[in-house]
Amino acid sequence: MTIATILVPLMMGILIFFLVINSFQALLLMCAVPELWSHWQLADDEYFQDLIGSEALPPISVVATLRSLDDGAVAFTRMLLDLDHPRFEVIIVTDGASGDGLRELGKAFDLYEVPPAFTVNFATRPVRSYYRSRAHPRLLCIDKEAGSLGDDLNAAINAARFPHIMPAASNVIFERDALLRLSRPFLLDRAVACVGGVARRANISIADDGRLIFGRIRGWAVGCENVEFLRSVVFQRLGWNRMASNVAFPSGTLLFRREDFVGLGGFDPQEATPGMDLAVRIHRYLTDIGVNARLPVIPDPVAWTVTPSDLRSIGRTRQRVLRGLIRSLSRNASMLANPEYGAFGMVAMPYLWLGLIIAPILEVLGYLGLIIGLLAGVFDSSFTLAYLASVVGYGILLSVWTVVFHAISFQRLDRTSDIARLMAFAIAEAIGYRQIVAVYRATAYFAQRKQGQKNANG
Amino acid sequence: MRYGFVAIVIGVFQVGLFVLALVLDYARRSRNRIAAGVADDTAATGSSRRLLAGDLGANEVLAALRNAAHSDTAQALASLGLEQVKLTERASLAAMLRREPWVAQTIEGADSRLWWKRLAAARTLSLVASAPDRDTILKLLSDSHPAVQSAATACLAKYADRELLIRVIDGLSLASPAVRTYQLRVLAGYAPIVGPMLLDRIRSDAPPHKLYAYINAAAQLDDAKCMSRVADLSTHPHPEVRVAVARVLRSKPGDTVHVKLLSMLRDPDWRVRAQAARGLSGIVDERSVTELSRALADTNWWVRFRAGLGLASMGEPGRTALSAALNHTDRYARDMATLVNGLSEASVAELSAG
Repeated sequence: MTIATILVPLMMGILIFFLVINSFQALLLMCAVPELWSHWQLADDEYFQDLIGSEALPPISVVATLRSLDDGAVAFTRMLLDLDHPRFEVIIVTDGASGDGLRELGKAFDLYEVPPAFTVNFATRPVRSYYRSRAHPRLLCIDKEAGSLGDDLNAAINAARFPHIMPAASNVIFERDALLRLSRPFLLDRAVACVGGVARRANISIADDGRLIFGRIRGWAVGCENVEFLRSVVFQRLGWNRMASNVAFPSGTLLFRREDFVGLGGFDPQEATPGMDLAVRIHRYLTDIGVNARLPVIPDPVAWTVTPSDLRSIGRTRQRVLRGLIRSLSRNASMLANPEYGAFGMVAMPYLWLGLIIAPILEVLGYLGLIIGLLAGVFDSSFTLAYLASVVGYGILLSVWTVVFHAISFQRLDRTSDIARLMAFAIAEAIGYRQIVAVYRATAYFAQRKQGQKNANG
Repeated sequence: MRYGFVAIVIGVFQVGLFVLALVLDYARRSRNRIAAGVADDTAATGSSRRLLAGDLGANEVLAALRNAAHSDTAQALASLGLEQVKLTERASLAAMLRREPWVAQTIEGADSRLWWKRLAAARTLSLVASAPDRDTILKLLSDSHPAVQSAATACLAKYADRELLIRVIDGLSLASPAVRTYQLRVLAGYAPIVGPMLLDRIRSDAPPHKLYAYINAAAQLDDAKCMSRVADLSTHPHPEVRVAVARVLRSKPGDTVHVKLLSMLRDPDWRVRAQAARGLSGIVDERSVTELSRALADTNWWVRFRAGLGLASMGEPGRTALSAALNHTDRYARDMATLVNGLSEASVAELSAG
């Protein structure tokens, strides 16, 4: 057996694998166009504009935790209270992990303690106290013992009184009309179970008067991450709408029905990325109880988050998200290629396994194989060219088209130089950045396996 | 050429993406043009400017619209023109517009497979509809897309007859929340005609999902006979219907309603009891205070919560009852009384409203 007999079929398989995966991503990008078209037609409809803000809007409980918020608890809470919507409440959980958050909130919003007379749908770590605000009757604060993110959110949802829930991540800045925009699909279609809004990436800050200030993207890693985010989150999610298979919502921009949430047992307290896990479980739960519901993502930028500025932080975030996805998909493995779960089981699940979990491993393996093959003289220039075109070149083209679609659709890029910079990042993303991130993602897979074995061994 | 298939696959998708980028660009430009069209057109032609100022007659408005560069712009201007033109000339302007080729062409889109073309047809009809358009409006009212349905509903302001109104009433139970809200608003404008139609339909043997929609319509219409029929449904076997009855009755205070709500506070379904407790808020009456105090010890949290808030909204008698409940024998009633007693007035108002 020579090296060629192993390498040639392996590398050919990887080439075809990436050709199929990238073509599917191109298809998702194409599906985003009719979604945008439909969305614009509705956004321009004067009758629906008239109904925004009407009594038809579903009342919403916004739930948030101050964990991972070192300071700025007051500013964050004020931002949530300032959202535009006729009927909503804000429930903030502090669990000791957030330092002086409760004391700051107490001072700023004139909190007073109320008795613990709330329903308990989900068991959580003990709640120490509930507080209401004399300054903002819409605000409820909960002080509880330290737990996970999911545990904190479950405690908040226990105290929520409205039939729709929106968890708000503390690292997200919301547009004032975020709730109105997220509510719109519920107004249009009774079969909507959950609405996702994408938290866009930007170099963003808040002015003293509350306006959002957008700065230029600075740094190679941030630029590449933004392009990758646009491609795989903003546009592909719209494409998934067409296939009724949206799954991995970014945290903080998810609006769902409380009754479904109670039905599926709340957030998993052990889950580090509860939002994404929830989306998979909602699909499963609704199918299992025989409800044919949609989980659309809206294209509007309803929220903003700052991209981590260094490659190490980006890599760690990717690892965390991927580990969460692996855990969530593994727990729901029976949905994979299961026709009972419709497009989600037959298309989305296989894509998530192949495109997000297996792909980074094959990508790293492929680069190693290509180098070995070239050094050993196994591959000629035509194969090398075809391989790089399929794995790297195709990716560049998809990123470039994403930037083009973004520039046309959202018109946030005022200057030609901004578009040129994004184009440059689109190319750089496929050459260098993506490979580094692939290594991070591949190691996440092995780390998760190791963790799983450790858990199995007790 | 061994790997030509790679180039072919990539090439095919690039062509597809290129075409879609052109489509997207066209859509975006046309959207911008419509948005900016009125302003540009107004700036370009003196007559359009005068149209917006409201000092043109019907013929002059029509001339201004003919000068509009784009049919979408003309549609937007037509809407403005109809608002601005002298009241006496509105009907004649609508009739003249109906004969315009671009208007006829847009209305033909009512048969299109593309929902945005049907939407454009419905929007245009909402400006110029008349008796001959009846069948088209009927069809658009039953459209599968909510935006088309609501635009078709707007046509009723221009032309409505019995059959069109019946179609709207009978479709209420299937409409999305936004469309239903809008349709209820439009139906309220035809209360004298719609009232008797609703009265015929509010019967205990009607399907519950339809009855639910009719009950909400009756509340929106504020028709005394319909509301009396609604109150009679307070013992309907279907809980969703009773919940709807309790919800709408709370906005129509009166002696009969008060008695109904008091009896609904003993309903076997907790949702009905919670709505009834909410309805009794603010009705300062000895019977309300007694019944709400009793409901503080209900088995369901929401009923206890609503009863507590109800008592807190009743002024002195309610507050006294709440204070007394602090020593209630039932632990849950004590907890709820403590919770509500601890709330500020603003919190009570906010929680009662929500």
